[in-house]
Parts: sequence; C-alpha cells; structure tokens
Amino acid sequence: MPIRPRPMTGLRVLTAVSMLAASVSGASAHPSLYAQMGGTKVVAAFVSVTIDQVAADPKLNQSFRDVNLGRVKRELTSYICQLTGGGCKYTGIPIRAVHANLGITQAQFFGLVQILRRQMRLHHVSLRDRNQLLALLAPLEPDVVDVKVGPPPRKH
Amino acid sequence: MRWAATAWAAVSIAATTMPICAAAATLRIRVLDLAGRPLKDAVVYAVPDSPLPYTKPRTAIIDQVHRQFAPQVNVVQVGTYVDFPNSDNILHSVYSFSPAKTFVLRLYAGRDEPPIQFDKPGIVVMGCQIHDNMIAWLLVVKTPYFGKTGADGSVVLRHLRVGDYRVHAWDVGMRKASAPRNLPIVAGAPPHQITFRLKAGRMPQHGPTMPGMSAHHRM
Repeated sequence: MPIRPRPMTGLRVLTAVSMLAASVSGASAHPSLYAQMGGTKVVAAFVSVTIDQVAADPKLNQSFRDVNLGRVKRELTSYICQLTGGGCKYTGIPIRAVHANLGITQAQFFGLVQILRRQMRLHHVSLRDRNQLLALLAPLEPDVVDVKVGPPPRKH
Repeated sequence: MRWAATAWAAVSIAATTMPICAAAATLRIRVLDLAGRPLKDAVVYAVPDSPLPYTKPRTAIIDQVHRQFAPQVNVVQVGTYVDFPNSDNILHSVYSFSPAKTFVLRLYAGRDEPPIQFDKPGIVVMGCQIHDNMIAWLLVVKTPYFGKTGADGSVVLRHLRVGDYRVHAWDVGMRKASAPRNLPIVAGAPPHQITFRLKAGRMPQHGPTMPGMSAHHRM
C-alpha cells in the first residue's frame, strides 16, 4: 500500500513558509533583508520619496509623464518586498512590459539609483543593506533601459 | 436546414434594403447647454418601441494615442465588440468598474488583445491604471440609431423605420442619459427635429475612481 502524504497542518505550513522566506533572504537564522531595512514602513517611505524626486527631475522624468505615481510606489514597494524576502507576492505587471518603448536611457536608470541610494541612507538603511538591495536591483537594467518592442501583428 | 438558410437570407435582404425603402425617416437632433450654446460630442440615441430585426454584432475601435483614448466619447449598440489597438505601443492597462462592463485589459507593447463584447446596456467609464488622466466613456444602447453631435451641437439620425421612439441625450459628466422624449416617426413627413437642453458636463481631469471612493462616475 503506497504511503500517501499527509495534508499539511497549519503549523507545518507556517514552518514551510518561514523556511522559504529565510532561504530567499539567504541566511536561515537571520531576518530577511526586507525586515533588516525596517520593513514596509521604511521601504515604502524611501520608495515614495525616490519616485517623487525622479518624477520632479526634468532630466529623469521623461518616462513618468502622466503616470499614476501612487501606483508606481505601491508596485515598486511590493516588488522590493518580494525581492528581499519580505514575504510579498508581486502581482504587478512584468518589469520589462512596464518599461517597453519608454526610451529610458542608462543615465536615467542610474539617476534613479543615485536618488534611491541617498534616500535609503537618509532612512537609516545600513551600508550593507543598501548594497544588498542595489545588487538585487542591478540585474533589472536590461529590462528597464531602452527596451524596444515592435508593434503587434495586425489581425485585420 | 434549407428553410433556415432561406429565412436568414430574407431577413438579411430586409435589413439591407431597409434604409432605402420609402418608410424610412430622418431625425435631426440638437443638443444645447442650459445657456443655449451647442454641446459638441454629446451622445443621442433613439430606441424604437417595436422590436428590432437581428443584426450581426459590429466591431468598434477605441484607440490609445499620446496617452489618451481616441475617441474619448463613444456609443455602440448592445452586442458590439470593441477593439483596443493601442497606437502608443507603450503599456496601457485599461479598466472599467462600471456595472455595465467590468474589465481590466493590459495592452502590452507587441501584443494584440482580442476585442471585448459589450453585452449589457449602460454607461461604461474607462481609465488607465498607469496613466491617471486617461478617461473614456462608452454608451452601450439598445438601438442601432445613435450618433454624436458635431461642433454645432447637432446630429442627424437616418433610416429610422416608422414607429414610436424614445429619444435620449447624454453629455460627459451626466450620471445617466436624459429622460426620454417620445417621438412618433411617420412616413412621408419632413425631417423630424428635436432639441435637448442639458446641464453641460465638465470634462474630468482624471480617470474613474475605485468603487466606494466616489459616486461621481459610477453609473
């Protein structure tokens, strides 16, 4: 008779979830990077100021024209939360699709990173945590900078 | 099967010849604000009291151009499909919370979305989740006799069949269409004329709000 896996009890589910979160943050005994930075309160705060400053900077804000900034802040906070083991599930639009054909330059990308770096510091995120987050965000560059997508094949 | 095909052909011929038969009439409608100034892009429609013959659903287009809907004011018959082609080729996330049709349509660059069918009458207000100031209106009406006023506030509806009609007008900012004006269309009469006076709506600067936040755009 085959052994059937028992359904998970609440406690076992909880343990599995916390193990998963711990493995994402990279250190099983330590809190996640998200928690170390100060959790949603701090992350949402430095994301909000960063987006406001980028949107107000004429050299950086070309892709933010007419954009709902509140939504950008919410989605970016959720994305960072997922990326840093904060236990969120990012349900927003894929990063590459969001930036397609917006013509964002590398200088604009690094301009945002500079503001983000400064705001993290002003929100008392440690140097080590700042560098960890920037290292996690760096691979996004090809999905943000100069993403060109052609027109869809017309069906008519 | 053969009789069905024949009946269908007969209906088709009736429908296609209907516009040129002698019993069709013309209705000229003017829409003014309370000060008597013409209202541009007001929607008017005439609903016949007698049932309409079946017609194949049509397809209309609401494009996205320079981060705005084009056109912003739209009217279609119930059952019409609406295509959202997205000429901008950047991401738009078109949504509606209106009871007549609730949807979210993510218009990715490089991908074509199938048209949406609007199968219930009502006023659909659409926005874009990405771009705050995009807003469009779609009136879904139970009649093929509709139109939008020009700069002079007038529009002509043609090929109306003889019978009794209820005629409505609507302008941006109105939560529902005007009360109906009853109009008998008779054969051989000169063009019928109606004038509506509406409280002019103001063009909002933002898309529709979430349900519960404000009742302003909920129909």
